Formats: sequence, structure tokens, C-alpha cells
Amino acid sequence: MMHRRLALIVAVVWLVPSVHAAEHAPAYGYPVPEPFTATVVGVPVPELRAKTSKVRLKTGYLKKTVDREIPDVLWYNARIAFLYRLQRKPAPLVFVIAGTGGAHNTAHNQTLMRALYDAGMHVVGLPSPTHTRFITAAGSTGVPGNLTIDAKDLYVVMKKVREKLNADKKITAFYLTGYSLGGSNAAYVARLDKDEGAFGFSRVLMINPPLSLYNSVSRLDRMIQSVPGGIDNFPQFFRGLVDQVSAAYQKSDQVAFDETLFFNVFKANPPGPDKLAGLVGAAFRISASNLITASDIVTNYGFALPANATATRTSSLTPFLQVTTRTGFTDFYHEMYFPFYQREQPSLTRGEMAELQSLKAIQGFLGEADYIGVVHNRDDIILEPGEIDFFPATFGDRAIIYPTGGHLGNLPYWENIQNVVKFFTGGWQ
Amino acid sequence: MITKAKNNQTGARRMSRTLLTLLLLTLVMLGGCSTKLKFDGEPTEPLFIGERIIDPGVQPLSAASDPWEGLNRRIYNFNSHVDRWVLLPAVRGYRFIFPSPIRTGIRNIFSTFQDVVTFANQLLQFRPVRASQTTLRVATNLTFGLLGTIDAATALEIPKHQEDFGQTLGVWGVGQGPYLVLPVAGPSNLRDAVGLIPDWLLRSYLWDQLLSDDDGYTAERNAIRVTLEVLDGRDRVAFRYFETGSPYEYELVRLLISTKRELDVEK
Repeated sequence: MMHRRLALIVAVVWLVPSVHAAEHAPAYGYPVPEPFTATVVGVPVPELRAKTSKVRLKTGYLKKTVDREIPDVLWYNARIAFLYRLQRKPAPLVFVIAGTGGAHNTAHNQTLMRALYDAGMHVVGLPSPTHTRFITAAGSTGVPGNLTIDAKDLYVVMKKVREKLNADKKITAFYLTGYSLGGSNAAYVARLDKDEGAFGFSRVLMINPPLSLYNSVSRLDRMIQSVPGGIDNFPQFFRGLVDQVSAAYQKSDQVAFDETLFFNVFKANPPGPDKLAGLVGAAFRISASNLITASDIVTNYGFALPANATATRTSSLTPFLQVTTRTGFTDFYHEMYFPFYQREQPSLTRGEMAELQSLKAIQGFLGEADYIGVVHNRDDIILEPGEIDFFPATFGDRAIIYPTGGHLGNLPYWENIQNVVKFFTGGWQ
Repeated sequence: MITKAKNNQTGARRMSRTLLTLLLLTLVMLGGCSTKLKFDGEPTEPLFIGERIIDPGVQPLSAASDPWEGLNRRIYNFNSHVDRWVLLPAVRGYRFIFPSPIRTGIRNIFSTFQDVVTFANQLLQFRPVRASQTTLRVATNLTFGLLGTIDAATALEIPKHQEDFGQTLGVWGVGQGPYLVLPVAGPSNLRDAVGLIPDWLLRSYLWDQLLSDDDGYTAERNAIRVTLEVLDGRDRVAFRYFETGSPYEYELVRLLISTKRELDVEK
């Protein structure tokens, strides 16, 4: 039923504008008008997805870039993985940074990398500083979400990747992009590079970044309230997904337990937007739980694991899964992140520290840096009402704001990918 | 006939030797399997504790019974090494040697054998309608599907079921029992692990009928068959150990597998 309705929407939205295309400026053809549905189903019609080659992306590994000993329970996180593919001839190299909790090889990273590789660039995919492996092996404090510190950690990793690739002779320029939180990371790395100068990025593109980290994660936290029966019902809700999740898991090449896995379940047959909010909330709740636990273990902070306890590779973590799927990003912020960083900056209030983790904090830099652009969606579900206006106001014609797409739903849409490629090949003007 | 019996005997002996080695390896790994946290002094209290923030009535997220968790986690870690250093490189070689159409053909042949196992279990579960669908499937694939190399039945929309003896035991009312991670084979439970034996015997019997001859090569052929079966089995699954990005991978896999097996029996 829902499927048919969606097909109808697709048909109407897609076909109607094409009738008028000759008379007016071409309308935006992304076919899903509702933001939660867009976030989950992505681009429902395969023909509307960007066509990219099936080139094999290679996996590279770095030794840990931090001094800490890798905790025994996270023994498998001792190396940092990245994805890459180089051109034979000299070309610019683009770094692509994944979004919240994302590994180096997320579906979005791969889509962007293939498109940019096809357009003639060397490509490198990096994990998010919020990915458990990054927290363990590359996070200098072990508490992610501090954009300044995350940028420094990323910068170290990027320099090591460059060393490892050993291809400076055929790299003509360095570019940078990232989606979701990776977009904010890209902006902060670009600002750091302006002072440090190791890369001299000449083009930087943010894709659907949060404006204020705190606002966005508290929105995601609140979505879990849309789980039918409320938060107490989350275990049942999750178990209800499991059958479909395991089917989706077996069918796709999906490897990570991230939001894509949960979204895959409903791609073909999405329920109504209210239920989808619960699903999006649940998916991010799992991400939050991964991040919080890795951070808790690495720092011995005592969030869910006792501070003076050591978990080994045979330790049962089950009780902490129950607890950390119960708490969320905002609990992490108030109970761990804020007290942790307040030690260094005791004068800051909770509100002030939250405001620092925002693109507003570097608005002056973003406004002047004419090599930085942004693409965003007017209906992105991670933005508070009105926050979208920051982007055209700051970036002017270096911003493209699409009318629809939710959070990253339209990233693989052909026109979006075309604009990403255009940004790096000749610019939008 | 005599050669065949002897071949089967050596085959069985080899199999039991392999099993014994695996068992010993497992026992060696038994040391230090405590699931408890190690404390430096008196245990302190963390900021968030389940008893304080979760109502006692709330169903826990991961409810599978796992009394052998320490050992299971050891084997899980061990399996990740086998996967990384043995299985995955072998699968890469397999994919390099055989082009995709041949791999599909191999997969379809094994799938047809699995259908026969499914059929036997459907009979044991008293499900005549499904059993007849499976019969039709096997017959279609053996004839139009050129001896099982082409999955013609799926093209003709004949439903594919998947039943094993673990599920049959489930239908008969046997619970899953404790969660169990098998060496190399991976996550299972006591009931399904026991259920592997009759399925394996049936499959071996069928293959023996097909591959045996008086020329004395049965054991070698069977070895090739088992190798291909393992390679194809691993090739089917995208899963990579410790690539999920979750410190709770063990818990989430346990939850996925045990819930899935529950639903498999209910279906």
C-alpha cells in the first residue's frame, strides 16, 4: 500500500515538472518530498541515482597515532583504516570524511569517492572522529565531538595517509569534503590548515553539516521518543526490526551496524513519517551507544563502566549495552563531554561550550574563505527551524540549498553528485 | 564396494581427527575466559547504572541465554583470526580463479543439495505443502536447471524454503538452549549445533552416492567438494569480523542470530 503510494508520489513529482521544464528553469527532480522518508529511503528509483563506475577502492591501514595503549577489550581497534584509489596520472587528491559514527568505507563515502575518481581525482576515504576505531587509535583525548581537537586528530591521520601513499609527485592539489558531521570536520580541518599549511586545500565542500552539534544531536535524541510505546519499549521495537535487519544484512554488502543497516530495512516499504522518526532515532541511538562506550573505555571516565574497572577481550559488555542505549548524545554531553573539557577551560558554561561546537564559531573564516562551499537541504531533519538560513547568509553563491532531501537522502541523486563533481572540477559559477 | 567403504572410513577418520584438533585448540584457549571486569581496588560506581535508570519491568535488549559467554567470546575472537588469515584469503583466491558465472553455478548446485536437506526436514515437520514445493524446486533445477547449475526454480517463482534439523527440533518443541559460538562455523546455539549432525550426515550420504566410484578417488573428490562448499559458504556472507564499528558487536550478533533463529522456527 505504502509502496504504491510512494510510487505514485515518485511518478507525480518526477513527471509533472518535466512538462514545464521547457518554459521555466529546470525544477529540482529529487522524488521524495517528505524529509524523514527521504532520510531513510534515499533515492528510491535506481535510474535517478548518480551513475558511477564500479572501480575497486583499496583499503589501507595506519598504526595508531596516539600514545595510549589499546585497551584489551578493543584489541581489534589497534589500526586506523582508510579507503583510497589513486589515478595513474598527476591529479588533485580529495579527502572524504564520513559522518557521525561512520567508518572509512560507508556507502556515502564510497558514492562520493567513485564519482570524484571518475572525474579524474585521487580519492581517500576517512572515518569520522566519532567512529570507535578512530576514538581508540587516533583520538588524542578519547572524547570525540570537540571540533577543534577532532580536526587536529584528523590532520595527523591525513598527514600519515599522505606519507603512506607516497605519491606526492603526482598530486597536483589537495581538496577536502565530508558529509554530515564530516562536513563540519572538513571546515575545521580547513581552518587548521590555513595556519599549519601542510596541504594548502584549494577546494573544500561541506555536505549537509550540522550548524550546532548540540542542537543536532539533541534533535536526534528526541526522535527516539517517537518509538511506539516510548523509550521503555525500545528493546521490543529493536527486536521487531531484527528479522528484517538480518535479512537486509545478508542481502546487501552492508558490513557496519550503522544507520544504513536500519534504513535498508525500510527502503522498499517505508512506514509513515512519525514511525520513521522513531527508526531514525533508534539508528542514531545505536551510534551514540557505540561512541559513548568506546570513549568511556578509552578514558576510564566512569560513564557506564566503573572508572577503576578494566574490561578484557572476554568481558561481558551486555549490561553496558542496556545502559548506553538508554542514555543518548545529550547525556554524554552533559555528564561526560562538558565536565571532561571543562577541566581545561573552567570559565566556560555549558551553553558557551555547546556554542563553540558550531560552524557559527568560525563564521568569519567561512565567510572569507572563498574556496569553501556548502550543499544542504532546506528540510534537513538535523537542523533546528531557521538554522538553514545561516548557510546562504554566510556562503552566498558558494551555497546550494536544495528544497528537499532530508538528511543526506538526496546525496546519491544524480544532480547532487553532479554538483559535487562540478564544485571540484570547475566551480559552480 | 570395498574401496568405497574404506574411503568412507578414511574420510570419517580424517573428519574426527580434524574435530579432535579443533576441540583441543578450543580447550587450550579456555584459559582466562572470565567475563568479569577487573577492578583496581574496591569497585566504584559509574554515572549511569541499569538498576537506577531502567525500570525493572523493561525487557532487556539482549536476552539470549549465554552461560558460556567467556568461552564463546574466546572462540569468536579465534574465528576472527581464522577468517582474516585463512578463509578470506582463500575466498579471494576462489574469486580470482573462478569467474562469476562458474561461482554462481557452484552456488546453485550446493543450493539444490540444501533443498534436499530442507525437503527431509519439511517431512519431519509434517509440512506436506512446503515439502511438495521443495520437491518441485529440486526437480525443476535438476532438469531445466541443467543438474542444478542454474536456479530455474527461482526464475519460475517456485518458493524457496530453508529448513534444517535445528529448526525441526524447534518445531518439535526443543528450545534453543545456550548460545554457542562454534569454532570456524560461527554463532549458533546448542540445539542448532546438534542439528548440524543429521543434516551433515544426509548431505554427505547424498554426495557419496554421487561422487563414489570404484576407482578409489571418492575421498579426494569429497575433499574438493567440502572445500568448495566452505569457500562458497563464506563467499555468500558479507560479514567481516570487527568491521561493525561497535564495541557491542558480540552482543548485537548474538541478538541478531538468536532472534532470527526464533523467527525461523515460527515461520
